[in-house]
Amino acid sequence: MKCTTAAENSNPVPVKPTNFYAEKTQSYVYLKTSLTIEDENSSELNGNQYKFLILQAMKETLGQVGAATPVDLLKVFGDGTCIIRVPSRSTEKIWAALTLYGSTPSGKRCAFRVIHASPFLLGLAFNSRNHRDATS
Amino acid sequence: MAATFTSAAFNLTTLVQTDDKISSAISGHYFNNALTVILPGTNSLPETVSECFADQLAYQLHGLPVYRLVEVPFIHAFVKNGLIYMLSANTQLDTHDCVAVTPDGWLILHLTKDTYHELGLEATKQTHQQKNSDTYVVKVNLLASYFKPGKKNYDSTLWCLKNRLDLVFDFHIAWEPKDDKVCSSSVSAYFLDKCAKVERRCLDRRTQVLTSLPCPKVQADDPEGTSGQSCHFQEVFEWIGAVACGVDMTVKDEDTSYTSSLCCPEPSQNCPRCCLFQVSGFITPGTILKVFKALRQYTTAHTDLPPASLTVHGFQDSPIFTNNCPHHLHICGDNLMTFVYLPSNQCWLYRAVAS
Repeated sequence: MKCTTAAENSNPVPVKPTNFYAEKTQSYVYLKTSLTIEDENSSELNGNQYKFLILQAMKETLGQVGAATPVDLLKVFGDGTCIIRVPSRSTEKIWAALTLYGSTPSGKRCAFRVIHASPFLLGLAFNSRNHRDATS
Repeated sequence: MAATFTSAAFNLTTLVQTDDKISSAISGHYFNNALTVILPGTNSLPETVSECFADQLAYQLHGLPVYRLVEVPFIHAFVKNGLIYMLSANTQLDTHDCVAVTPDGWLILHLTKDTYHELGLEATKQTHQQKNSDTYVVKVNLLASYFKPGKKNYDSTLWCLKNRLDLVFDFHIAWEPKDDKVCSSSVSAYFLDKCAKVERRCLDRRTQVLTSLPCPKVQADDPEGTSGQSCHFQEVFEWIGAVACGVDMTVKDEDTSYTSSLCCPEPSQNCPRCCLFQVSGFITPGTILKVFKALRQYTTAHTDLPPASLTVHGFQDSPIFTNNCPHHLHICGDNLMTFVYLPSNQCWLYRAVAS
């Protein structure tokens, strides 16, 4: 939705327009996710390994077609958490796929937990619930 | 097509930096958890900005009974003679009862169904989301002329809060007195013997210097980037988020594009150094207004740099967000305001609310 109005300013010069733009839907949802793996320190995983496990999770539940949904791994934190970006229309499916994923290809039990979800990346910078912030 | 998962409201307004709408937007956003300042072209935060936090005092009250908030001495000393900000701490909006006192004198009780029915105070009309989640909002106007001892409304409110249920909460509290001679710490002295413990809530600050940061080009009069000379405002907002979260946005080669395809929106310019300042705590709108003005002074003196931005992060679990609008939490309760300082005294104001 877009509407533009030229607001009248009481000052004679300069007249500044007030533009108002609104977006009803956001194209992405950002998820802050933690991964725990049995007998392994998940904080040692690098980006590629993390992404591989996310794709494995999607393949297992959603199949090849579902796994083709573009998922971006934006950042991996030192404590085994990460920020991923998913298209907002497939968020439920990907969240479900992550939740249902139970063991890594090497047979170890593992679990993804979604800690924080937001349609704005800026929303993940701080979490007012535990007073800990993302970049720590 | 599946419906979107979270509901979100997102808009952008172009304003003049001295517009009254900016100060009313800031002062209407009562409960602020954190600030993010992105300041390109400098290694450190200007002193004028860090000084703004010097007289910001916030406290945490432990185990305060809610009926203490409708007592006459409290209303006279703090609600009438200043701006009081109180928000229940460690309560979650979707599962717990939440309480807030706003500077315009409203006591807001955001209650679950059980508490509401036991309490016996009348709720305001439920919104659609409140009906779905079975929550009720009770609003008490502490400044109303009829709200005083001896009147029915006051007596029944006090009795319900005191005798019906043992409503006890932890609170974040800050107070800005009208009178400059009064110290804002008197609010903590008042509650010392009324609750279990009063604690000073310090601000948690962090400054980072980012080098070789790609910054999107922005034009005030072309937010949608139709001319190709500037970026779309939504991409700029995502970029601000990526900087705040510490996401690497350098141009990807074959190896790293496997993990992420996010990069800085085009057209962009390289910024050799950039200061990222983040502060969290219980920050009052008065402080934010000072920060906004200090940054405005700084940016008008440095017009050749990529635009600076100031983001205000509201509490997720606040029962209201801006201008007393009811706030709802389904998946996430983000309520954000971002100001982007643009040349020729213009400013973009983003508002983003999700539930």
